[in-house]
Amino acid sequence: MPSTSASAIEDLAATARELHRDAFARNGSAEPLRGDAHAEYLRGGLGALPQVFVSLDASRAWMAYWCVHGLAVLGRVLDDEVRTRVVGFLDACVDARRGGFGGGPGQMGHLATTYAATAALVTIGGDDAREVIARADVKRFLMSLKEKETGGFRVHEGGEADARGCYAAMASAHMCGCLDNDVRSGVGAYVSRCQTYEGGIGGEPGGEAHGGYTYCGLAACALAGDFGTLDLENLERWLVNRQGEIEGGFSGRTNKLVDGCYSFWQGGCFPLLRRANDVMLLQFMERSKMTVGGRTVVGSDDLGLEARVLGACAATMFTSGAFESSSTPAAFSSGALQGWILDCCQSDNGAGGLRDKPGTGRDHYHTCYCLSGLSLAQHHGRCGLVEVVGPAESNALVEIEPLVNVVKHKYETWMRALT
Amino acid sequence: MAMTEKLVTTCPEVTTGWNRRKEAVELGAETAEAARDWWSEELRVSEIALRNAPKSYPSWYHRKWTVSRMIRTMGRESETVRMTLERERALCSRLLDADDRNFHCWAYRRFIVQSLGVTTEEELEYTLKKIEDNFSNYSAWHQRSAILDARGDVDSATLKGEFELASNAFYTEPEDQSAWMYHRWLIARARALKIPDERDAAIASALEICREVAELEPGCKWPLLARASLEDEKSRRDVLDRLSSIDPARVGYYRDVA
Repeated sequence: MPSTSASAIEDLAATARELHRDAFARNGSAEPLRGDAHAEYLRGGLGALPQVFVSLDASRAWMAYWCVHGLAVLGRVLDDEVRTRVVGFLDACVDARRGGFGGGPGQMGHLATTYAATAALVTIGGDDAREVIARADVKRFLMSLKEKETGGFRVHEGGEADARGCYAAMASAHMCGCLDNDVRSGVGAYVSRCQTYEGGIGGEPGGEAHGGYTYCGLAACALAGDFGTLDLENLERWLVNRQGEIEGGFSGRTNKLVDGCYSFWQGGCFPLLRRANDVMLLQFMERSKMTVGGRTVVGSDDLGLEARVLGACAATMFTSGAFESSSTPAAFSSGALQGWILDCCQSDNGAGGLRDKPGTGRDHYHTCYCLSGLSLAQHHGRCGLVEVVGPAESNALVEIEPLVNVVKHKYETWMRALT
Repeated sequence: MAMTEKLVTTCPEVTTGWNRRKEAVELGAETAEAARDWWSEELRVSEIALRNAPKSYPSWYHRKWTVSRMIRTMGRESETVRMTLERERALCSRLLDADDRNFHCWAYRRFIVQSLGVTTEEELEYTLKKIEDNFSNYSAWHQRSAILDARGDVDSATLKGEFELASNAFYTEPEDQSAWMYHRWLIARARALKIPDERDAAIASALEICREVAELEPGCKWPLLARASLEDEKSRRDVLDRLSSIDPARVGYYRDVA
């Protein structure tokens, strides 16, 4: 029985093995990260964003995020001129009528680009970035897309609802300071319905498990402080089996090829899972005491209140990272993941930008998510320890906050100022 | 309409363009003349968009919206609706021949066959053909689980046949993960069988096959992973130990679950 996809998997593993061997022969370790070249490539992406120019391209707010975030992970600072121009561009992406951000100036608000624009602004930071966001408008926008019956979110007016919508809504609300019970209610239940017997999460109920949706679903639950009936054990089993043992990277779905961008989408789930287990343990302990944050919850009549209080307190602890304690290694191989990104996702000819896999071209999306994945493999392989594969002076990256995929210190500064 | 056509076929992610078309349809549908066959236009335009970008969310959604609206206004029994649904099913088959893992297309196909009232057996036949073409195509295996689930409880005779299908794949290519993943769904359905004897027999025979494949292929992790969720506590620990030694990349995970 011929099986093209199985042979493609074998071919990719063989290519990766060769690249790993060559890198080791040259460096005694993985390839050095070509940070300067990648930064130059990302700066080029920002050059294509004029302040106010209506074009058809619906992913320019994403482009701004990919480049701004990628540069921040590399520890690079934006020039004042570029910084001001990007803030002006994102301001022009605001859909004033609906609230939220469109993919470009003059475009209809979309949840995905609202997340992208917000995350870019958080990364840029500062008063002018803060002023772009009108909290009440964002909340109005999110509530206009919420489906009360299912707990899910439509991605735009008249558009489809899926796990991506839930995440974009939760993460935007969190960073804009409007994540309240109206916004979060029902998210855990919706995402739980999208989990399949594989263990991963599909886009909508009935769909096949997929890395992007799995991250979105899990992170949405974490932000909402509500994991519904998610089976986290099964989720973890699916995740660990997505990592290719020879390649070192992750595939997005059962029996698909490893792809650099899933370094973040799948890899980012591990720190979230670890914190989720802590939070659930705490919720259980709190529930058994029936005392929450100093207030004693009496009979079962009050369970609605208890659940609400627990949700809020779990969400707070989740985002404060209070529970990262265990120093045992993560369930995935963080060293192998770093090797994949360094040896297989950088180009063969020394040019900047990262890619899906050997044989494909670079793009800004893959550059952003390969770098995000590399950072989290360095910082979340073992809690409390930074483990860098290859020469630290070129390879060490800035730590990201996996809940929102923004550089951690910038995220913390932003959230502290959010009142 | 000509302008939005140009817009969405060159840049299907611009949702404003698709929404404009929806609004125009809603307005035009008020007058009988204009309503005559607004859907052919919408199907034609979203097909061009999908040919250029087969994974575009807004194009798929527009197509689903078009068909849903036809059903709502004309009813499922209308000849036009039935012909359209049949054409849509054929279009899905063509697109899945070009890319058998396009999950947008599989999801849309589930919507079409359900609207058309295609029997479970007929759609199972289709997925079987796709699996025979390429049994690594996990999306086709997943489709089987989705359509069987949509029908309700799965009876033990059906399960027996499905376990056989999966086993044939294990013996042919034990390293291929698709059938092993489908096997997880089968186990969950077997555990849900209402008659205890049938349930126990189904699980016991599944475990037997996993043990046999594990014996034949000592270096293969998939039968061991399946056994890890089926064996009693003591054997489970042995299985996890073996997994740690043949699959060292995931040793952290095996330790976590031990």
